[in-house]
Amino acid sequence: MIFDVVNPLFMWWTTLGVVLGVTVGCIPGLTGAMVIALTLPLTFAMSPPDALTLLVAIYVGSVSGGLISATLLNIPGTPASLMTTLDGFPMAAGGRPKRALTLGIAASLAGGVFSWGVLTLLAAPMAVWSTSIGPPDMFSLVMLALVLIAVISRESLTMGLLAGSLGLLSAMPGMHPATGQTRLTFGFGELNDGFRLLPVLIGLFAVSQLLKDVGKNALTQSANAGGKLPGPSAVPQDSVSAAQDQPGAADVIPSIGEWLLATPNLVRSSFIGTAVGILPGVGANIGSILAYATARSQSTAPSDFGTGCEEGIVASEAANNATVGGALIPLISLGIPGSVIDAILLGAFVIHGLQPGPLLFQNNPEIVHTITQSYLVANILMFGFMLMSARWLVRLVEIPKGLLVPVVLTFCVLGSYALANRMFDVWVMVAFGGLGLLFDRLRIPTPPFVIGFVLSPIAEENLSAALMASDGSWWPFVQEPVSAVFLGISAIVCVMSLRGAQVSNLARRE
Amino acid sequence: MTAIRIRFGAFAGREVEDGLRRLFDRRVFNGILSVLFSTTLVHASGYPERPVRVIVPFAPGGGSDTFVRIVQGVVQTEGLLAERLVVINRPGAGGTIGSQYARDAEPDGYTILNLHDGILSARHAGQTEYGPEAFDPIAATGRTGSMVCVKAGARWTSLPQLMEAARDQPNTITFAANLGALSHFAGLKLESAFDGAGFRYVPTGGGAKRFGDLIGEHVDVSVFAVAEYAQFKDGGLQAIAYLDEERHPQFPNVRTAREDNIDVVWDLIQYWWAPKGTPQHCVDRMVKMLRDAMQTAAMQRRLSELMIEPLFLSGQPLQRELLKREVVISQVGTGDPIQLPNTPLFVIAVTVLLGLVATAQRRVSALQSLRRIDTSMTDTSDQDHVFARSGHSEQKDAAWLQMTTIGLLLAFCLLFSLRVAPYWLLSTAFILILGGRLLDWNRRNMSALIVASILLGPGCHYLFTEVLIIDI
Repeated sequence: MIFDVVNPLFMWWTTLGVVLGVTVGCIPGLTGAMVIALTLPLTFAMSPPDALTLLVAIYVGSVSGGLISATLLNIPGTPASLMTTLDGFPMAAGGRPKRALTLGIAASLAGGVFSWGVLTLLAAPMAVWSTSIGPPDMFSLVMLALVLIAVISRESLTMGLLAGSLGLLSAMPGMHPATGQTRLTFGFGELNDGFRLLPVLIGLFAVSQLLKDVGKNALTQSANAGGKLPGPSAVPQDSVSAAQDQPGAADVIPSIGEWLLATPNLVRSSFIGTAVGILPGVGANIGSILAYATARSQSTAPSDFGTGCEEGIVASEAANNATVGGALIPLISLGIPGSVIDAILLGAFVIHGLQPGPLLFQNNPEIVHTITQSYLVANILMFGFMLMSARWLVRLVEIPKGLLVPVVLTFCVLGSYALANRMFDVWVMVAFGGLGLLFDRLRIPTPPFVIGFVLSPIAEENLSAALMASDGSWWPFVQEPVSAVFLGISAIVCVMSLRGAQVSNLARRE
Repeated sequence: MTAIRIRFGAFAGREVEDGLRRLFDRRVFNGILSVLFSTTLVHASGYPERPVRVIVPFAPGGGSDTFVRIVQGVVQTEGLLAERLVVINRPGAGGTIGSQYARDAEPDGYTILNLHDGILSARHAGQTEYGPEAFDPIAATGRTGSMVCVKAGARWTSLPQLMEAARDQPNTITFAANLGALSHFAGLKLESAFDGAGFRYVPTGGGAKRFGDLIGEHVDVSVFAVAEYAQFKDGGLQAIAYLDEERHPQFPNVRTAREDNIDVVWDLIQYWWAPKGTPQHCVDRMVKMLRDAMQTAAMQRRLSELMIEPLFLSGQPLQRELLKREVVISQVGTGDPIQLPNTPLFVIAVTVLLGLVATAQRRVSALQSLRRIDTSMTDTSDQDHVFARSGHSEQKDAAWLQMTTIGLLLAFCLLFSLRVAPYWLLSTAFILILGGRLLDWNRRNMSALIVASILLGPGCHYLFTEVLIIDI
């Protein structure tokens, strides 16, 4: 066990992976899935433990790195840090960027270490439990996630639901996720695969944000110092460029007492993240959404959420890092991927001649050890590297927008193209960039749109599977206990949020 | 129903024959062309003169990708080709996005495709309009058999038991399949080989997903590739039949379906295709390269690790095999149409409804706020007007900058897609022009911009083409 840590090669691959992952994670438009997929061919010449060490470290780094651009630029570097933008950005804009970053990084470490503990202790029993989640249960879980995202969006419930259903609609063209029949392609062959997540996300978050910034005339610091239009998404150039929190703000490094206060939230969010990570097909995004919503409902001041609340950052970041360890559990013990990145990792196992499954624990215990160790070490290195480099990475914002915009735009084009080596994805990215601008003008929130878009195929696949398994009967959705519980919670959340809206409306009128 | 199937099968067979004849004619035509114009350029200098791109229509890390990359590695280390093989992944829509791309590629011998039997099933399931006749087949390399599996300890311990149950109570035993793909056709083929049997198909994804559904008892039975079975065996999977002519040497205890008089052989072959009209000498060169690669010791070792049989077919035997398979798959019905809710319609309806509600709410709140403004606003409004006017020109400038940025981005993408210039030149120019415009050609920032553009243009080009192998 100690052997690997003193092995210089092991440390080299872990460090390289973390640095690469964090850097890529904080560059909007480059995601962990992409860089791991692109790194995989480079590992063919490496030994299996080295290759898996590198890939797991990139995974950890990329999930964590997203919080830097989410906090400072309001652009989630990866989908997993979507929820971090809700509170991290207002906090940074409010003059406390360092505090927001430190909180996020420390919560990431806590979430990572927590799920490492679960990974090492409970791999086998947890994986057995996860297979009992059937199609009706999955469908109900997705419905719950959709209701939650609509409820927590900052606009009205109607706008949140509208955005979510627009997201569902955008995921409709292409192949039916269950039957494989193409639909709504209008005879356009390139649309057979629908709109891919990566170009849609790059367009909505990176391109439209960049175009918005250009339109706000906040291009150089001098222009920014002059007349500028205040807006919720304007980059806090002055405060961030100094990389110092405003005088009079709370301490940058939270004190031990503050950590003790945050402990219940940390543990709860890490637990939610780990549990969601174990479920197949549900990735870091949903883990952080559920943890965020739970933290909000448990909070003494739920109205603070979305305005720069510390609990929000902690919940989102602890949970998204915890999903990584959770998702490794079914991957190692049963060979079932929990997310897109885990699917690529599964490919890495097979390419390197390893068979994930219970036998892996018997035949290649050193591989299991290497993976769990590299996961822990990567989390610790990520903490150190991000704390050290966040100050440096903050300088990314110091660069004049005129320099940053064209550079990031070329990355967006290249990143969309690299996904499948085709121009179609680039045009999709550009189109969704325009759509993002339109959404901004109509005040339609984007997070529910993206979540609807991501969850649509999962929901439809499981709906079809459940209906076909029951020969068309809808009863299993309420008869299966797990499914019934999820649906019940969704209904309660919906009713409560409607009542809440009525109460606040009444209060406003009075 | 069976009569229709048979007629359909005969029709498909004739169609393939026609396709092959057309293919032959085209070769003759190409030969005449090459004599007429004496294309010494192509013939005198050895093919290939530059890297050959192999299109893999699946994501990196999958079965096909793994196989192709093993071949690529062997070709490179053993020096079987003067130039490199470059693997390009074009995943999506069950392999049809990539195959469509390869079909439309320039038939110059520098783009080839690797695609397994999915090329046959995609057409039969109505996902594509074309099949093997749209390509010049190069070779078949590697073959995997499939196992019919249930959860260990299930009610059925043999294939006849399962099939009898599927006949006695049709449409009750659930069969996990990737609908329209090969696992689905394997189930349909089993049904057709056992009169009266009927499964209830449940759509699932790839092998790992099917395994999870079996273990979680959400489905009863499914079909797995041998390598998948080996991987999941100890997780609680039990094979009840091997769908091949003989038992698998590594699993001698699993009976073949034929031993129980159920005449089903279901396997998967990896084929290599060239776009229609590729010069014959290029195809021949690829055949030689693949044959040599399959015979190396390194290849044989990797194949046995992945439980792939080292089959090699080219020329006439390959044509015959393809024809045979086309007939087999066309005899399998596509199953009953599945009654699923029309989700697109439902989602459109909900979206329109929510859109109307949102518009109505906006109207109401706008009216309310207008009324409030009418009653409360008096003299402060003048000040606001002055303020708005002073910011007007700046706002207009910003809007103009936004339009410029969008225009330049569109121009960059258009020029990139038309390939009028190499990528590094285009991106360097894009960064310089857009950055310069946004920075007002400010000299201090311009030097940084020039450095960035030169670093990122050629730098990314090098990184993505040489290290990460992206096709730009």
